[in-house]
Amino acid sequence: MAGTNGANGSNGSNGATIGTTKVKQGLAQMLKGGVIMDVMNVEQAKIAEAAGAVAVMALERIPADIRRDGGVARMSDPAMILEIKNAVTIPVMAKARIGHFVEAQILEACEIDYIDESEVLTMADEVNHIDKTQFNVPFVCGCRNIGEALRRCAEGAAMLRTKGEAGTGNIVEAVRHARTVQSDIKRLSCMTKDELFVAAKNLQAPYELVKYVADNGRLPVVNFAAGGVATPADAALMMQLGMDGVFVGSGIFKSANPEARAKAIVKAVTHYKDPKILMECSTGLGPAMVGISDIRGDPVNFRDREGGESNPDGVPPKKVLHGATETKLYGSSWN
Amino acid sequence: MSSEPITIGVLALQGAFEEHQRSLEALSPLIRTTQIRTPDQLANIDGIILPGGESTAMGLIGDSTTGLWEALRSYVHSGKPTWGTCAGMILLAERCVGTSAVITKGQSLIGGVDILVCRNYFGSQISSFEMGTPAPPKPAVKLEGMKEEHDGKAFPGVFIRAPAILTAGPGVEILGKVVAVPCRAAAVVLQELERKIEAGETVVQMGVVDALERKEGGGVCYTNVRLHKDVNSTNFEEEKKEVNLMHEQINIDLPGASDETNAREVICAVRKDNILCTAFHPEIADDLRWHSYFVGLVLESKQVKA
Repeated sequence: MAGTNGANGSNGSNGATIGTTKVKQGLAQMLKGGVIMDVMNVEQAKIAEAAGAVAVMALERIPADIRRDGGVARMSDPAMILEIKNAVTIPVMAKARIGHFVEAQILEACEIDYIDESEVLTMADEVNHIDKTQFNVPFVCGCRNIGEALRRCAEGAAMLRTKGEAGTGNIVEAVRHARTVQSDIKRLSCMTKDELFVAAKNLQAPYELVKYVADNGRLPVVNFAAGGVATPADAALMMQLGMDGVFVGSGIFKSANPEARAKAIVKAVTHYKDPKILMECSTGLGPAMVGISDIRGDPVNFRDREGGESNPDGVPPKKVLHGATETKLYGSSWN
Repeated sequence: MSSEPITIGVLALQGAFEEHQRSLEALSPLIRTTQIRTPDQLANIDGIILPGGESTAMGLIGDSTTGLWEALRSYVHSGKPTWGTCAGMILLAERCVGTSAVITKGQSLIGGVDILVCRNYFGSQISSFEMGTPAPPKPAVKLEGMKEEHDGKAFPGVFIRAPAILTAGPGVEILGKVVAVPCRAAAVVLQELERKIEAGETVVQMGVVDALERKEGGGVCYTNVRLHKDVNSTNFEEEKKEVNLMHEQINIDLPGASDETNAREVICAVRKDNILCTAFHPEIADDLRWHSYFVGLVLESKQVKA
């Protein structure tokens, strides 16, 4: 009989199948050209929805606070996630720690729309990421270069974002990561097939995905900008660098006038190629978040948390780091 | 058969507009596509597609772009070929329930097709699904060299947080139906809608949740559903009165629950004159038959004009 569909979580007799790759990647495609905003409570979620956000990221502490306060950053309380989910009609995302698949299971039980396996939270596994193919809910992951991007896709990520350096209000790392990914794509596009085998080896990424990028001239999934976007100009810059959309974390609710800034960033992302409109939406927003200009000197480093990156010569040296969110790190985009 | 090049615009405020462009360009080298962000860009196109995306965001971005909604309204109402997929379909509906209660004026609607749409009928992302849907009709006119096979095989429908059409007015041709259970939030909206219809109130727009109370034991009960009227008007109290006055002019029959599972037969594709609506996403389906059908519509309307 008819009467079951995906809404029951079942593979009904009418042929509805949930959790397919197409459906998971599809939601990210629907978010393209949009802005996803970090929110910490219902009021902020409502401001974000009314400003035209395509989705909100529900979390207890935004990255700027995690940087400042330190301590172990974990998944948010499901109660606050559900509260936000019930307050808005746009998709709601939430963060799980890298490798913490039980946090992901809990978020899936919350019927969250997207899980961000995020380097901003403290790593739960310094070697393995979550096997994202085991979930019906789609995942977004951060990347600094194409190797990292394709490794995440191989694990089942249905959406990517640049890592940037979250909570700094400084766009420099996001630009670095966007440019790196884009130039990697261009480089692969003009390689011959025999070169692609070696490229896959060097990138430490599956050959099939490397070949997909070479053949199509783009990543297999949508790639958003994230980590340091604070102004409409930052957002438009990332769009012009070829990103599909923008995450804004601390940039909105750490600024003087979140409502106006949120609206302005949404407008800037739609009209990213129109300097006249960009001028209009950059005008009179009040002070942006103060931010951190010396990222290199900052003790907190979110972007280099990947795990599993092995050094062929043996065990990589542990970086000497100090500061609140110290963790064992492998290889830096600075080196 | 036509060999004249055509240009199709894709509304590019937000969403899967590039996917539509890619699909159209894959159909034939005679099809050109262009992104539409401002009213003046509507001038030289033969048809327009409103893509999938977030209807709330699209509505708000459109609201903040001077003159765009008015221009689109007159474009659609002038009978030019228009196709809305998912969020785009919501924009083309005359009535919409399940809109955000956060936004003062509710969902912006361009209108044009007399259908009642329920936003997010099937539930959150975890319930998004793929399912065979009725094949699209064969295109009336084909472009030279277009190879799309119309063999009547089921079309792979990709439903992502998709809306459903609950009812269609006279003159709206129904091109596809699916049987599906509404998600929890949509079921509450439907219940409220049934009550309103019974009480003789006309609904143009109805929000989902304004306030909520947490039931003991974790369940959530929805309260305080808000009613919206015309999106262009600003005075809410007056709108409510006006809505109440109008109630006798309209007759809505909701699809009933077909069995104890509360599954209802909802509509997933309609056509009204030159306007096409699909609740699913042919732009990411790897099957170009709906695109070829729409191109046929564009060619037909061009020939009529010439």
